[in-house]
Amino acid sequence: MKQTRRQMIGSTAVAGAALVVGSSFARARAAGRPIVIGGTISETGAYANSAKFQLRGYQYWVKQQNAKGGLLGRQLELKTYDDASDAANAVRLYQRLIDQDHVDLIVGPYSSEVTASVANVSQQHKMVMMGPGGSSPKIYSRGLTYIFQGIQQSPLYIKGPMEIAKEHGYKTIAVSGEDSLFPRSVVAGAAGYAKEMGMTIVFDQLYPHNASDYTSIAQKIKEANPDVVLSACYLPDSIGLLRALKQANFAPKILYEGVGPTEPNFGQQNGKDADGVMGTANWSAELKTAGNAEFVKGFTADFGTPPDYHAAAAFGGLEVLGAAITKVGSLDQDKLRDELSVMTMRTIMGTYKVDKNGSQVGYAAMVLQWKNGKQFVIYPKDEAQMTAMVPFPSWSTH
Amino acid sequence: MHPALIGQLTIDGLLVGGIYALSALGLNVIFGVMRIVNLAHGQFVIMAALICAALFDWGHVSPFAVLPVAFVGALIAGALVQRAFLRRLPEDLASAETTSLLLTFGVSYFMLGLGFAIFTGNFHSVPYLTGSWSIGPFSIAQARLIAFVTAAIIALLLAVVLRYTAVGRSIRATSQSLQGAMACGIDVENVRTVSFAIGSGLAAACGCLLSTIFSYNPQTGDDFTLSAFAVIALGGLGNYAGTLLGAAIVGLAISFTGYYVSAQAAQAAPFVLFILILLVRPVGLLGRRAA
Repeated sequence: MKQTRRQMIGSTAVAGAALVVGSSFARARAAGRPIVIGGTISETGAYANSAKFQLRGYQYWVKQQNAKGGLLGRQLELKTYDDASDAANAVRLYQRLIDQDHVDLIVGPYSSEVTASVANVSQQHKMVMMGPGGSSPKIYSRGLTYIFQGIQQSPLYIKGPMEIAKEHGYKTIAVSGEDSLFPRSVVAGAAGYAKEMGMTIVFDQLYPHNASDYTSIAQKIKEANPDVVLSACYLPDSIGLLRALKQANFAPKILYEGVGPTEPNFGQQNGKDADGVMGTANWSAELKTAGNAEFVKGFTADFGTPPDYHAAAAFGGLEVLGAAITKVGSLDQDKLRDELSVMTMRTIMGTYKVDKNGSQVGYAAMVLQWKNGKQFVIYPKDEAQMTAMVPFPSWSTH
Repeated sequence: MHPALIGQLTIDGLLVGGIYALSALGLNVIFGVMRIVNLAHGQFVIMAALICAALFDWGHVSPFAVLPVAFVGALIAGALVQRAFLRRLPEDLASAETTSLLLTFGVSYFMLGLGFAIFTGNFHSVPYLTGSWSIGPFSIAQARLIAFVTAAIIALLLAVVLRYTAVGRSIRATSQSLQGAMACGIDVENVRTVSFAIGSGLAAACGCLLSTIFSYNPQTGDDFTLSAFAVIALGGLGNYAGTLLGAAIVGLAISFTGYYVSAQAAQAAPFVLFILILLVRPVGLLGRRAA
């Protein structure tokens, strides 16, 4: 259909008038309406299980904060969409949240993969974004200035087990893990730490995502005969690799398996074999961090399930954002950015502090170890619930 | 490269080859008689494995106890699939292969969806017989050795059935010549149902055996369909002895490639062999030349 000149002028004028009326109307109402916090969550798709906890962490903080009177005298409202665990979806939805829904603040999505894509949107629109789902350092090394890491940096994960290894005088290390973004980032720093601590990497090879058999990788590790095995695993591969090492009858002095061992299922699946295995926990219900006990209790009462570290990171990130807003006294995104860049704050996750890239340097990555079917924090020392059980017991004594 | 390591890799490869052999034998029985490619085969394998995992979680039921039940269950399910769907396909030879492909493809997607609905996308593995026996410099995984021995017994039973029973003779006759079998008064329709049932049963038996060895979710079924293809392409379509040889080669290829190249390359190894054999010797190592 071809528009006449008059029709075109007419429709432009109407649209323009609507814009003027709309925006002044919005300004007039701003003081009374709630502060809307927007974001996406992977409610469906591959990340759904963990992402659900992140959403609950957000929801729980908003509820708590509203009970305390909100922020800047306004109530808070959370507006989320489902990105179906897909980064392209998330990018579209964040644009929609900002351009069409006109949210006042944004918060990060789940997973490093999705956070990395959405960080560009936050940069383009100059809106600060706290990312409790983005552990990979790649997100923060690109010169973006509005993204802040609300979770431990993944390369820090292996620092704990390596320090424990150093204490015991172990010298040789085998590095492995799943060949994908997050596990790769976990072991990326191994060479650097090894050099610093005077250790040697004798084996370094990853295995593919969704592998079903770990026999050959276990056999290779056995041949390399390291003191320490550091493998960046999720749950399925942590079980597969553990079993393959047992079948190859190889027990290193320290066996660290990434985030797989944080899941209770790891203990159920492996029984006695789990004893001695170390993993990374970003947070634990037992931590004596600020407000942690109340958080665990309240969250459990609200959702009928205890929180996990994703929920804790989401809650902790909003604690920080809320404090920054109160300090700045407005929702001015540039002022918030400046504040988030320099502030330190005690949260349930530990002490929030970022470097000049927005990378988290305050939160400590804890190491847990299985013993008699239970998980115990063994690192850092001031949070430890027991001393590390080293060396890892031989298979005949398990 | 030292002899003990070569021995260990050979043991690992042959043991895992035994599992692949069982699944491929099932696929080959179906192909031999029906000349159809069953794309749902791996789903029968994984469905049985998932059931083993669920039963073990529930009450520590041994997968070896589940095996006979799963075998019979899959016999019935296979017979039903044949009677309800495959039998109704047009007999017209030109389109029969395509329609059977599409149909088994559909069945595989149905089973994949069912698997996700019941067992979710999480990976499973039955923690049963997780130890190993040390013999000299070698360590032999208990679950693998027992699975291998069980697979060998089942393969032997299959050979006895095919060679010495009336049903077995009908199956062999039908795979050698459809017209000949019909001329001898063999009820070819029945033979087809029985073969599809046996093929599915073998798949389920294989699933129970691998449940303690691999990590798997419903999606893993596709890998098993494809690796079973690689095995029978190597050994020769319709050739049972060739299947055993093909499985041993695939097992060894996975084991040695995994060690000397990488785990990524090991996943691709069966398919590289598959492509090579199609190019060099399309009838398979022990395959018969087409008439």
